[in-house]
Amino acid sequence: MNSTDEKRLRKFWRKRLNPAARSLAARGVELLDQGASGSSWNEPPREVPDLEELSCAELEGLLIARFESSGLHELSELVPDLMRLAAELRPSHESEDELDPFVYVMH
Amino acid sequence: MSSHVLGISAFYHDAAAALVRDGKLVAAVQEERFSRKKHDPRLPKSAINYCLEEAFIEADDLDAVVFYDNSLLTLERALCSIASGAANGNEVWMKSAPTLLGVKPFIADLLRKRLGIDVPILFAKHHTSHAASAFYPSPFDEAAVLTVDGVGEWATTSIHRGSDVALEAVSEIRYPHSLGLLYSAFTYFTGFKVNSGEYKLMGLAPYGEPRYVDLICDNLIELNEDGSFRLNLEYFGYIDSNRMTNAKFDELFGGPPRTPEARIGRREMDIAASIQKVTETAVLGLARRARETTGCSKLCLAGGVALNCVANGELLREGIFEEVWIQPAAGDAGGAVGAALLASYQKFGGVRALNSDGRDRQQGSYLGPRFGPAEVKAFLDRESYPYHLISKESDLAARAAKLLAQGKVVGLLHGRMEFGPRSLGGRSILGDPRSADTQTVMNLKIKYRESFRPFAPSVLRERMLDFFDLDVESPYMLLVAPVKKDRCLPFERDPESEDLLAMVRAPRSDIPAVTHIDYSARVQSVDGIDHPFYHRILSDFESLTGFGVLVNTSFNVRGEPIVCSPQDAYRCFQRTAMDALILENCLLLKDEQPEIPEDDSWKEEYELD
Repeated sequence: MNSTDEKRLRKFWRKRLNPAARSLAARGVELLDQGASGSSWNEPPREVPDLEELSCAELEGLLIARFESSGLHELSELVPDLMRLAAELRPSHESEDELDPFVYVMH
Repeated sequence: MSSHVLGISAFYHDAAAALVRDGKLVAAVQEERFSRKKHDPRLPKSAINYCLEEAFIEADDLDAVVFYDNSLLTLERALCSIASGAANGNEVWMKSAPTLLGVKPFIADLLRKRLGIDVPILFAKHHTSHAASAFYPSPFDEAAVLTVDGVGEWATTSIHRGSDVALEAVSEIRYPHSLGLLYSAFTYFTGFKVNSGEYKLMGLAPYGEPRYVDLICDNLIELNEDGSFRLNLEYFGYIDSNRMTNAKFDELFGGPPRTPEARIGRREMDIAASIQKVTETAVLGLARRARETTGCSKLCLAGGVALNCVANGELLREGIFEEVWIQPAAGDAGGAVGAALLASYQKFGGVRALNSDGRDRQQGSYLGPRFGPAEVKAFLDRESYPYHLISKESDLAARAAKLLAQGKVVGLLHGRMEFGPRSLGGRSILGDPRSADTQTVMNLKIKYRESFRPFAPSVLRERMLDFFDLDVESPYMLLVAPVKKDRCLPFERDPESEDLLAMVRAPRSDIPAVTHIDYSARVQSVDGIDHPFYHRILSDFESLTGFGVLVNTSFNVRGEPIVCSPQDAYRCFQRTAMDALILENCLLLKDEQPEIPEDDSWKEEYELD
């Protein structure tokens, strides 16, 4: 990761994502089901069909809609800036296309 | 007019491509085999090229490209996960965001650009892809499909019901509750590499005692009556750090994780045995649930956890389902196959015709490149490597069997390369299972890997019951079964011993090299249809020795992807203590090859797994 990308990411964390996370926490929103007991079976996400096309532009709108429908306004509001950040990060990944599989197994 | 669908898995781990024509799997291969970078997660450019070549088509003949994961759900889950661990989220964000944001939203553009075509780029959900990879190539018209892995988008476990070309999602368990991540957490804690060392942990388990089962069940995982499970996230680091486990986990197991490559002690062995038991219990619970909710009597399995062949063996013996079929490329690579088959059947009208003889449609998993005799000969002549051309296959098989019966270790590159993590006779290293020294010699002088790791047997299908308590086919080496009692030798285990090498060297049966310390074996049954040449070698070995069994291990050294080409195979042959090499119809003997200067620096080419 080059230093410009690093600065962009740090800034996004500081200015957007961390405040959004804190606001959600302050509202008592649980983003993950971290409960320690009870059945963990869920209905599959039938509202997201298989075998559809998914452009970057569509992705932005759909992500906003999903966060909105879950009442996660803090996250839906940062999606446009997140996608702008993604567009800025894209060139370095197109040339390197190096990934860290260890990170991907967790995130 | 034929339809052609290209399936792609990439950007997690084990990138792969697969090509399906009118519902039939034509080719499938992992990128690592070409790039020589193990578990290569990058866009599988070489794998795509190979698939197109194998199908004799150009990229613009494709009707669609299908990616095996849905970026929308993945981004949603990743953001929720990072935001929920916000107290320490900066570290996680900085590590994961570059690839999460720099690649995931642009997959469609990236694929169009790299392929230079304008065809529909479709997205299948991660677990749908796994489920499709398990159900469609199976020999079943109708089946329950259970997929279990680390994490896809949100799902970590799913149950589907397959019927002809329909695949209906029934229910799922979501991140952060994940059996795959639980097993990976223990892989990490015992000093092995996540996403690579899970099978080492499984191989270590029989050396230990399951002393920690109650500790794990009381503190880390709740196993519910309905087959579901929950993890106690207070002990795991994967939400709010870049570690799988945390200090509380360390405290529970009496100290920090084992340092990679450090000595393996009693704690690691007992932990391995314990998490194996817990995993088996969890898998049985999930299978019972799949049976209840689908009403099906047959089961298909995929997802990384389906590579736990010890759990698979237990599942089979438990009899919850009448029949079980497991996708041999059960990990993420197999998602490429599932994604392509799904689109072929559900978008392009592919007809799913089952084989009338009841065989599956995976074609022995020999779905990768083949290097023909002319190509091999040209390579050997060009490099001036000495070889014996043996045109008649029966003569070559007899020669190989004779070498093996003399205790020689033989590399075999023959026919199409296997798709999936197991070598099945296409790219294998073979040895004599009767020798007590074979396991140690092959581990330390040929594979350069840990001495405790067991080897698997290939056995003539028709002789399987003579050696193993297994009465169903196991062509993909995905089932562990007990060695027949009358072949086993008494062996006193010291439950406190930490001397792995001494345990390995103690003979346990009349096929010690493939009998694990608990008298089990990871069996590959070989018939004369999928790989007739390999079947012939086994038959000839049986004629010479009375044993229709061989040691079969993957053709690579530690950290290296399995060899693909004759060049890869020759290089590996020369760097190790293998005695002979078969490249199609050419036999190479080590003592006839030019001497290579002693230089171990090549070992640094491969990152230890």
